[in-house]
Amino acid sequence: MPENIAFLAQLVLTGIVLGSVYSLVALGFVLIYKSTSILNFAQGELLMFGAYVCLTFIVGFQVPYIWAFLLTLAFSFILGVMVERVMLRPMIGKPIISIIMLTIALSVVLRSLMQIFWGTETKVFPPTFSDVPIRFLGLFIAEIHLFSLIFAVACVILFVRFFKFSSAGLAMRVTAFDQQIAQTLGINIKRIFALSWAISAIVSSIGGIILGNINGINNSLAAMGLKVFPCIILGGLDSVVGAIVGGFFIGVLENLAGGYLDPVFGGGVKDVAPFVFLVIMLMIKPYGLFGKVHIERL
Amino acid sequence: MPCGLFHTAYQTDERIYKSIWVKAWLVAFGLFLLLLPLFVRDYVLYISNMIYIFVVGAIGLNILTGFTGQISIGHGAFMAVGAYASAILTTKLGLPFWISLPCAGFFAAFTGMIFGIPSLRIKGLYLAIATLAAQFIIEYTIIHWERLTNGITGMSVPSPSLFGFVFDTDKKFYYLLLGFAALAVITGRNLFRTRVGRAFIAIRDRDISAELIGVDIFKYKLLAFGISSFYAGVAGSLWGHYTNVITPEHFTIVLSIDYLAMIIVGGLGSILGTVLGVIFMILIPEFLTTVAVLLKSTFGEITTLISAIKGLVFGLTIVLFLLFEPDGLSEIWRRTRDYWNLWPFSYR
Amino acid sequence: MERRTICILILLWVAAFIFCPQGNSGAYAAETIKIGAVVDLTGPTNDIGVPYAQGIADYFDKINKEGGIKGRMIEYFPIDYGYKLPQAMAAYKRLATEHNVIALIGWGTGDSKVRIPLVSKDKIPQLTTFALEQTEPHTPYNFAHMISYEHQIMGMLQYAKDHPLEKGRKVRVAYVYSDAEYGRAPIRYLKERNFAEKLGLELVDEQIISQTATEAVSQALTLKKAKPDYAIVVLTPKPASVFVKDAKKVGLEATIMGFSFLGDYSLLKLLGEAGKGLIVAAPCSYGHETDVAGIKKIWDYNKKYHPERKVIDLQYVYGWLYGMILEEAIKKAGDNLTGEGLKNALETCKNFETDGISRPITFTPTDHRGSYEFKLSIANPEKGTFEPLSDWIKVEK
Repeated sequence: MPENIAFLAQLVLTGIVLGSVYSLVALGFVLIYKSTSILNFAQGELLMFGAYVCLTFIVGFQVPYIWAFLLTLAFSFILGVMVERVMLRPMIGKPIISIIMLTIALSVVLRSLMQIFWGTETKVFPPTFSDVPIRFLGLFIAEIHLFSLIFAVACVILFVRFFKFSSAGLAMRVTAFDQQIAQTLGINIKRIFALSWAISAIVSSIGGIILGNINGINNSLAAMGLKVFPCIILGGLDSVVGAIVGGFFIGVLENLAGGYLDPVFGGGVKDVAPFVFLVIMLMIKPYGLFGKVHIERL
Repeated sequence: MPCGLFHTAYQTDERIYKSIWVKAWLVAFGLFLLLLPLFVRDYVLYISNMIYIFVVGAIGLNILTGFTGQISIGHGAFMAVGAYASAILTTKLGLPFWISLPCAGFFAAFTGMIFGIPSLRIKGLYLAIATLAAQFIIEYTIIHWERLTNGITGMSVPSPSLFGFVFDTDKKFYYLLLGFAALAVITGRNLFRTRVGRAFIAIRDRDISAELIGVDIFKYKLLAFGISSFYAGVAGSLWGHYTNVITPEHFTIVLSIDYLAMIIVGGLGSILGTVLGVIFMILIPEFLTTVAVLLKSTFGEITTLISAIKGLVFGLTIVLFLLFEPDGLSEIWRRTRDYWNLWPFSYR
Repeated sequence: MERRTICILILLWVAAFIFCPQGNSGAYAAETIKIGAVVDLTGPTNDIGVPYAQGIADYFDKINKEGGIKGRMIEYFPIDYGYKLPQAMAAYKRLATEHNVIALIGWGTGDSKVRIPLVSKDKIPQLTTFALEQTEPHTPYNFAHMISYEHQIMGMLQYAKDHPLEKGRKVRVAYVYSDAEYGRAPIRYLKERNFAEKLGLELVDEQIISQTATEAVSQALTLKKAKPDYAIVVLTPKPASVFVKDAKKVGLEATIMGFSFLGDYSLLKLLGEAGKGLIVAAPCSYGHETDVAGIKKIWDYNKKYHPERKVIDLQYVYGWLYGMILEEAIKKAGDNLTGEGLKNALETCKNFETDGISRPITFTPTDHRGSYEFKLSIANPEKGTFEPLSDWIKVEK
């Protein structure tokens, strides 16, 4: 393959791999927003939590991978429910600024707690994938990247099916649509709230485990929580499909910006490009590609 | 002390000093502040100066978020614009501080208004996200526009001087900053007795109704962003000239979050709350550092823990305030004041 | 508790804070030697900041346990600033005015730079990091014991020149550095002087990695396109591990040469196989080189008081060295134990032996950099340590 095309293709490929993880995290975010209208600034910390807990099971307790994974999911579930019950339940009906501030504060609290428990050194999962990249049509793809992509996509498909076809998923969609209607149908709203937080925590944990496997775990992972905003603005704050599309798009955008614009601007474009895109999106299509347009009626 | 206040005219209701006792207490407090540098150590002056600077900035944010209801997570970036504008004007153009300060304010106001433009189309959460993006974009611009801002190395900022009198010690700055803080408080408080202020509050409470009664929402929202960023710009300029150096690291998203924490803990929509919130949020880390230093003899992992505990306390404080005292310190203050007003009686 | 009592207690604490004449003196006698430090324990560089802080603290602890210096104990105040400049400024203010320290040990390049005019004004010698500009003559109160980052890179570039991968063409090098000041400053210095070109090398690319990066694939890809033989890396272990791993993932084949901070055992553990062939500049001995007398002394102390510690990081040794230097300076200052006295004492340190940990350290009134020498070492991923690759290399100013 001619070198320039190979370079472009490589960037896009890596973008898709990273984008799959962004999709997962964005999915978790949208889940919470759809059902409870809360912007969760602590999404990144939920991600970190999953990574750390999984690591502790594998390294600390010598549990085989699959069990560690399932146990982590269980723990994340509990964390999600706890957070919802303790912090968010009392805030129902309070102004938005308070709720946003609460999730910001929550992110600080979670990050500090994780620091107390797990310290600040970068930790790695025991190596299960070879570092030698697979060659494919003249492109390189690391084993771990390939696996992450497949796994993330599988999880996304699984959750979308859950959302669309299971009764719990249906209940969540009704709650997101209109809480009063959901209540008249006999759906326990509080349980739905707890469930959405729990599932969001689970999804983020999976993302965290994947990211942790790729490049190790430390408290920088929490920054993922902020990267998710451009993804969901692109897709629409309350659209599941949008979150997925947004995640992949931002992953590719980041890498393209990094590959082509970094040399022009002297670095750092990779991190700011998604946010510039976010502002542009907000100006031309604030509700995203797939989001529901809010029309205010008097 | 009076047990209650009965107003019989709009004028008396609008008055800031509800009774003569309030005025008296205020004068006493003012005297206390003026005399403080005479019998206190330098470090306390430093803390007080930081409090004054942040009072100016925080009042700006409260005007925008607490009084006009526009959430902004980018306040730190607007402070940066003011600080850098002032630094550039004084170092590269040689302008005196007294000109660069208001210019810095206007630059920041202008930037604020630009990032306020989306507020016409989007509300609430979306606006919060837009301001978050503003924070990152402005930070990026400052780091990478190296010819103008010296990038990540930062700029050194000269101390302000007036007819040869140079403000270069904590004590001298104390009076300067006390003046600015007082000015900010007075203008902030009086803003809400004016038409503009009332328009802001109307927008916060129910913007559709406000539009119906003839308040031009777009104009006033932009004005809110502008005024708020002006305060931030002035605060930034003061900060730069006080510490004599600014770097992009000063103005990260953590600063924006700190500002939000200050006004939420203090009380949204209350100038007094803003002051209390700033004092509270600046003194808490100091208190924790004192504890950390006292425990230093058991170094090792403990000290790292203390640092993480600082973060934990910060987060928990905000969470607890939001859960149990959503109206913030101003509400606690009001209750305490009423308690002392009525003591030994317990009912209003 | 009654509301009244709470109010009174709060007022009392605030009053105490405002009116107390002296800062916290702890349980020590009046005649203590107060030394402060502004270190990163929780921020983006804390993976090496924590051992650094520990090394300093442990050395002072050792002194105190051995009876202090001429009977006077050292009171050590470390303050964590999380690599954030405003916190660093507040910490400095506190140390200078509350605790009245006579010496300050610093960590971050950015904040140390900012403190230069302040320490000159307050006459508190600052012993800190390794960027060159900070120890030029205009910084009278700034000292650095080990070779600067710029000189390390210069030495490494020389090594690259002397070890070409292919004869018959110029050696191709690239810079990979952090967006933080410690990365930008040395690269800026070298680029301003066209050092690589003047040496006869071809500078093909440079990449910036964010200090908090979690992936660096696009940078690695762009770097790969430029086909460098050697990549000089100025990153702390956290972003370095991200970069090196991603470089291997995309098939980058350059030899990676890192500056001193990459000489970290945990980094090797993180990199695993990817760490093979990593060359690191080492200004002083590693913690595993127990044949060195000074390193053995470190282990003796730790075995006695911290038996659970199994690893001594390079940064720990750096911190320990500063403790050694300060002890020597305090002894030399005699009764003139002020900031200024200490500075003068430091400037009389000539060929100060550090028990073999590093080359002898010399400070003069016009040169506050202690050493211009370093060794090259190569990573051994199986053992998880670094083996010597060269002898002491001296870099001209």
